[in-house]
Amino acid sequence: MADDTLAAPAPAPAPASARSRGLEVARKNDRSARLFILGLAILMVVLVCVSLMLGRYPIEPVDAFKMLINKIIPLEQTWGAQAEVLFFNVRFPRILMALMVGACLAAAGAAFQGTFQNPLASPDILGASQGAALGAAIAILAGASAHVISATAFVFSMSTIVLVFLISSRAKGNRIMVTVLAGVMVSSLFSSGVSFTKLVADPTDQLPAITYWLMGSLTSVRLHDVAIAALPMALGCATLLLMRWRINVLTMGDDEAATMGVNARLIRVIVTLAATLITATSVAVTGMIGWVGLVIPHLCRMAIGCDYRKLMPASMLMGASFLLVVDNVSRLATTSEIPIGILTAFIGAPFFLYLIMRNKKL
Amino acid sequence: MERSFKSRLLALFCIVALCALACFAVAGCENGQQPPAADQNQSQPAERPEPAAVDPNATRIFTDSLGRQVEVPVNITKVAPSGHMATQVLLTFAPEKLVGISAELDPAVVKYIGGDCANLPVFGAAFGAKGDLNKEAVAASGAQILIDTGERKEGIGEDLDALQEQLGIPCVFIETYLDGYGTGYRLLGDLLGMPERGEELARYCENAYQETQTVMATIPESERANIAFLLGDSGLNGIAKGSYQGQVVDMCANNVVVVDNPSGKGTGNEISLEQISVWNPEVIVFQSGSIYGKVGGDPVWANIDAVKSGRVYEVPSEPYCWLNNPPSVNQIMGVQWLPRLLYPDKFSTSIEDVTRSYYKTFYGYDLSDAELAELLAHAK
Repeated sequence: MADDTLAAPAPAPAPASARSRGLEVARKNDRSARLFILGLAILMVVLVCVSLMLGRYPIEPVDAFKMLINKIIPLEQTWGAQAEVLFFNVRFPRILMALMVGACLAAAGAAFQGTFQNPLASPDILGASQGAALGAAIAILAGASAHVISATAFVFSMSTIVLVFLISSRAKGNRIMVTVLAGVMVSSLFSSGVSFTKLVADPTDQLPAITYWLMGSLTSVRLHDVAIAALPMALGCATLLLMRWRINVLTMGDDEAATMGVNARLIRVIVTLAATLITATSVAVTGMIGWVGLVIPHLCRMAIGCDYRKLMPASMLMGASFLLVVDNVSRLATTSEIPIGILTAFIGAPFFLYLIMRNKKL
Repeated sequence: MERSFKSRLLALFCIVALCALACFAVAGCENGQQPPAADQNQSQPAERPEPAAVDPNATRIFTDSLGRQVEVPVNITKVAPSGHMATQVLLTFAPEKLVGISAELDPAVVKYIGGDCANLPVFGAAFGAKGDLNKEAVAASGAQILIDTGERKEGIGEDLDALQEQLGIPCVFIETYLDGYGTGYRLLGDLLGMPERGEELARYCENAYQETQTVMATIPESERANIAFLLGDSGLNGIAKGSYQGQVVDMCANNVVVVDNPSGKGTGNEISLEQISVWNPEVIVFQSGSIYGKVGGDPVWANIDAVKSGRVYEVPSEPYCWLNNPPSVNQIMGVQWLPRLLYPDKFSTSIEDVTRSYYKTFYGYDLSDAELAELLAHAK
């Protein structure tokens, strides 16, 4: 757009009016995108408020908010001790975690789709999830505690990406293609590794534990989990938000990026590391939750187009809201929990298919 | 150009050669397998290769729990288990006749029962989650019969017929369930020519079950303890009421874990802490490896009645968990332990005596005072 204005004085009036019409459209799009993001933010706040009032343990909706306010301004206590303990140790952290994981997975998906110029990219395209799964499975085999399992999953997940980068830096050919291929191969190698750990696992306790871990769940999230996950997630998301204009440039290809003074390789490495950091943290805390990272960015793209300056915050907000809703279903629908990884696909996929058929442009 | 064409030709040749080799290999295998299979079909009643070497003539017709008529050797000395449950049941019954086991034995199992069996070849399991039975290993072990135990699942008869055809040795099913171990052990005694051993274990199971049932008949539902049996590394998986894994718990107490879709799996149903707080059980039993030692220091758990009143226990798990996991004859120990824990006044024998006699009868193991104390450390 900057180039347009520089070249403006020379041409005749006719193209100028076409240009101003173009600018008009762009400005309109810009405004509608802003409105869309604002709408998503309001939706998220409303959903959080509603979620705070819902739960298997009966807590009066009014009390839920009183308890929150009570933390700042002391109020008269109208609620039971157990209600307060449950609210702050079980319900509240779980809602926070659903928001965080949803936002992270969607942001990582959007980032990967841009950097690898591939609409099928999802947060696990470079093997982050499979790496985490292998780490967790090995930790379960070794009989580790829950925290060690999460830590191992995180370390394996990050190492997977380092491995993929090492391989692709030694390979010849199209950088993006080589990186994605290396990711797919390492990913399938690790997924065989997971199958192998299942094979050697003790069928009475270890095998079910691995299977369960792979399904993903937010059930056992507590406040300290949120605290541990918050730092890497904030770091990764902040990086992606700061980089969102440069991701736009990446989508045009490396040569174009170079003409605009952007070092495509460096940016790609930074964006990939940030996206992997948040994916690895999400997977380590909650297990594998598919679908969100692949489809939420596409839903946002349908609404506001491909501009990453808008797309990145929109994806984060929509991902957060989506996972919160799905987790509400998971914890409220029946007395026992429904694994969230199954629900995301059950609820999301038909909706997405409907949108594709209605709206031909993707 | 010329060169690359040549190398392409060479590559093509290699591929063709590989394909041909693969075809020969498959054909070779089929040829190798066919004659015995055909032989098997023609001379079904006469003789099978392996047992024939041990006892050529003496066979008889045995009717298994499914009503299948199977021709088996009269004198059986080599038995292969179909899977983990069968291994476990046979370890209590006739470990000396086992020629293989389904999986590496846990150190605790080796300690109590399987000392001599620890070095046997591992066959894998024919059915269940993995279905990795190594049929050639079974054949190579010289087993005369394959025994499957457990609950009667849909299609088990056809599965065993198919397995029997593949293995070339008889495969039988002995049904075992909580109030039917007597029948199962007697049938096993008859099959393996050990009627006294069968009778001994059958009597024990029937008496233990009967005693608990008699006691429970005197306790109305309203006076039974409200209990939750929880497991998993956050204690948020529950064995639901009405599930295959929860039979002992359901028999002895009010299982508060009532869900729409009770899972028959060893992991039970995942339950949120909010839901457990709503149920607010009076007694909680944790499986080993769960959070038994941690609940006291956790503010959310600390508000649940069971934790407040200190009625939190950990079910003993050596060599097998007493309540489930697997839900097999180890449950006979649970049937005696859980009611003694919940209603101690209703029984004349102590849990110590019962534990000693069970370990002696089923595992041939004399528990020392220290071992007994360790087993019951969190279970009293």
